[in-house]
Amino acid sequence: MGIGYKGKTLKEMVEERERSTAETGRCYGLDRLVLDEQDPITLTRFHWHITSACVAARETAKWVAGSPVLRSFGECLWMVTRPEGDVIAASLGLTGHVACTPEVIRSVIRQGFEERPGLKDGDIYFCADSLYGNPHNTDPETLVPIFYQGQLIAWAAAVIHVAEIGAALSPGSMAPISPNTFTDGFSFPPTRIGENFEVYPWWETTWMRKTRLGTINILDEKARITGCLMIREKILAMVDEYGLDYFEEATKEIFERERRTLERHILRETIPGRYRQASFRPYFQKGLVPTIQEANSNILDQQPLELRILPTGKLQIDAEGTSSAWWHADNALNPKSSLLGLYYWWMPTVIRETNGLNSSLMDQMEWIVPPGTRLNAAAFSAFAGQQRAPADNGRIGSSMSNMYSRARFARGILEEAIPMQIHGFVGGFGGTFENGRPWAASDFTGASYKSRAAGPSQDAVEFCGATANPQSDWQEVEELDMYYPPMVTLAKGLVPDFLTPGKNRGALHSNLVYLVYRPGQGARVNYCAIPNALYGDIASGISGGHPAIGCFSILFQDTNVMELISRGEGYPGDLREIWEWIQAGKLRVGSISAHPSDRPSTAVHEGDLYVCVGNGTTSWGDELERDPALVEADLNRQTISSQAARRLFGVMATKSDHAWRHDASATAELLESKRAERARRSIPAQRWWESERRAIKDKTFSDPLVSNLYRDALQRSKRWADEFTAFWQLPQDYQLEVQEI
Amino acid sequence: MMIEESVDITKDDLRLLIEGKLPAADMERLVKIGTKAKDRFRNYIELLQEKTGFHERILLRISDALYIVAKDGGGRVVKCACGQELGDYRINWKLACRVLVRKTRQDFAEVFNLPEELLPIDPNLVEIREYYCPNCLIRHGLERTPPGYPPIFDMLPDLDTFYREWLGEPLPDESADWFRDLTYEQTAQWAKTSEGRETNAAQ
Repeated sequence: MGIGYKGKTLKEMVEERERSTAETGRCYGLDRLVLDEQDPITLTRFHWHITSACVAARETAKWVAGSPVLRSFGECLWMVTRPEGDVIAASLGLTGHVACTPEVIRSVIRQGFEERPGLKDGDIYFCADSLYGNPHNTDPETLVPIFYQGQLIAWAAAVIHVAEIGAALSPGSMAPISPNTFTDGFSFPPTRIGENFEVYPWWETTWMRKTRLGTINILDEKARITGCLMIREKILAMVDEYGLDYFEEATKEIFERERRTLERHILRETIPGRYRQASFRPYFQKGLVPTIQEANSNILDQQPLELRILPTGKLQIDAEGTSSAWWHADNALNPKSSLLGLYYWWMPTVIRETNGLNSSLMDQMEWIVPPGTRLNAAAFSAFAGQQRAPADNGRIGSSMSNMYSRARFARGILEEAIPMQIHGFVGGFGGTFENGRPWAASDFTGASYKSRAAGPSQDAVEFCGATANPQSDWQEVEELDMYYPPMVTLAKGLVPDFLTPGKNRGALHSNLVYLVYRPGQGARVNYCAIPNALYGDIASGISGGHPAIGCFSILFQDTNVMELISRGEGYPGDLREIWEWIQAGKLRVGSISAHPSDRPSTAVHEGDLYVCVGNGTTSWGDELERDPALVEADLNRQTISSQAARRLFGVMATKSDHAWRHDASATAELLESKRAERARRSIPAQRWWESERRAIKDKTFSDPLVSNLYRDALQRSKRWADEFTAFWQLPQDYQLEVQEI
Repeated sequence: MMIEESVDITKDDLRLLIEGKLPAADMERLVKIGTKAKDRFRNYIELLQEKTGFHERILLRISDALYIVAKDGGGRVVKCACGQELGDYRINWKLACRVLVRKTRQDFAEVFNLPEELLPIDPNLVEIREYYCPNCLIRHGLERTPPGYPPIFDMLPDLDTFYREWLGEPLPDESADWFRDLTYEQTAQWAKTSEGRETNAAQ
């Protein structure tokens, strides 16, 4: 006798759900939506009741937490799922987790808690491990089963991105260097952490001993549980109101109704066919982990993505050709844990049509991820690092958004052909105060806002909301500064002139400037880039527009800034000003280190300036096609300088009466010369192809990392190898040797 | 402007949308419409036909200035707004462009508008490829990849399925062959030409 519907075990329910959906293509095999046909208003009211339970839980429980990551940034999500794990409704917050939660719950079910020791009312479960569905261990998930008259009818689930996870090599919550499970920090497979609605005392001790911010992490745990218990009470009241049979049927129908909405959306707004995009990331680990030999190297990673919109309206998303998993921090150990990035794209794409956030998209698409790749890494090793995998999975969301925007553009839905970037950066700080006490924290400011990318009919818009977490805000410096006293925030804001040009321009990049002040016995910084600035988040722009530049950090060391401050001469306000002061000889620096990707843990000293940059967006179209009046408007808003207007957009302007005006004839002349320069510097594609082919045929590559990238892809994927050799017309047995780094 | 679900967007406003001149408030209201109207695509194509002045039928617009058109004598080709044809749409149109490859730190500093000293770029690992129309030199495409990565074929539409099954208006020249990637046939042809040239030079 199981604890599920009509005495079924949870395993039986999951099997039945999978079978009926696979056989019919419809969730739970539902043909007719009887409740919806009979009384759609009651069904919708029921749906909104569940959603409001999640929203109320979030809005209350987040104030229980100790971390600013939760309170002011809202990096969290509360959900209600069916017994099988399907998310029926969710709160506002970190949207992508609805894609991963079904797998986390199914992992709890697969672990056999129902048989031994028994799964019962009042139990509290926990999971923080990519192998079991979490995007990474820094997004712990707490689950409370909801029983009604002895039957498990639903789960309340909560996720919070914690501020510190105890990773071995980097403090904070997104460790750039974490080659394996044993450096990932606090990681747990499905675990029962309490019963009778109370957490076991040993669990809190574990948080205290295994992370650098134990007290705050315990408060986060209490927040997750508080919200889940609030949801439980509401759900039980709903069953009293609507009846158990209605609850059972309605939760299935809601799910299938939402899937049908998605199907209609695809048929109405896209074009069937094949779409492609790619993205790349470097991993620079050589010399950083010499004692972990297998990880002591550098590699490049590629992630080609193909979206197939099928005649039926179903989506196939195929990551064939993705690089092998490796001993870095970006492995999705379970392919379903990498779905987070897809949902970051999907949710804002269709939210206007659905009744809320749920996981029904999973039944409208097929996610094809070859085993042994970074997106499905357990076949490589179940012990590979997972610390910052979801940051990298943001590339999936950006690629998907880009490809889907092409489909909408072609269909004429221009107002929504806006390729979003799943962007952000997270600074990690840590050290030891003068009194010997260790400290650590993450600054989520750079991940907590987003600018909208340019579309076919409009420029980008700065600061209009984070795609991944639409409810977030750009945080309060005053609160955050308390968590990392040696890292004083000097400035945050947009950097004028620093944008991608286009017919419709990208958003300005933003920067955060920190001053290292009284670092005590030692302080260090790291940086997580989503995406990296070497390749950006996508490889191919739209209509000739630029992909976004990406996120990076610059460390200015051995400076005289403390002297400047003590003499009352101030401090620089952003990256441009730092550079201007250096050029003017006012600011002296001993060294400048610009890092294009994740910065490993780096020691800093009193007076160092640490600058984190990112969150610009893609542009759309050719900048030489931009209306000069728009460039003029940017000049008058001080978004760009006259030098940038000239250099980037080919627009000549003069200032009089405090206003910039473009000079039409000088602009036309400059644009003409820029086009002439294009003609002079470019060559026909065939000539370019011939010259590149010669080098590739001779196995001459610009860098061993590039050669090793292709070597891996040629060996890993037959389809990718066939296409690479066919494009460059190479022998079918073309292979590359490993190059020493 | 009145936007209702059943109307979606008037043709005049759609024209403004295409030109990038629809007021922001109207754009926002348009975004909030739950379901887009069925006639959007038809109106879109009619306006594009007007805008380009092409005598061939436009089947699809695939970027700002690139269209797939049905040739009068048969065939479907990619055509630039300036009139330049870029070949069969089943071949990646990037192969019909002029290419500029940016591969030095100075090149990147120009594009990123940053001083070279602050540039977080190693040009051995990445290059920017720009694809221009051979006639009007408008930039149709831009890629940022490791050197040697084949140009990305952004979009290969399944036109027959779209017109027959989604719009209910089958195209007159339907064929299973239309949904095939022919890019590699183009490079095979180039290889023959190139190797022929080398053989001739050797002789």
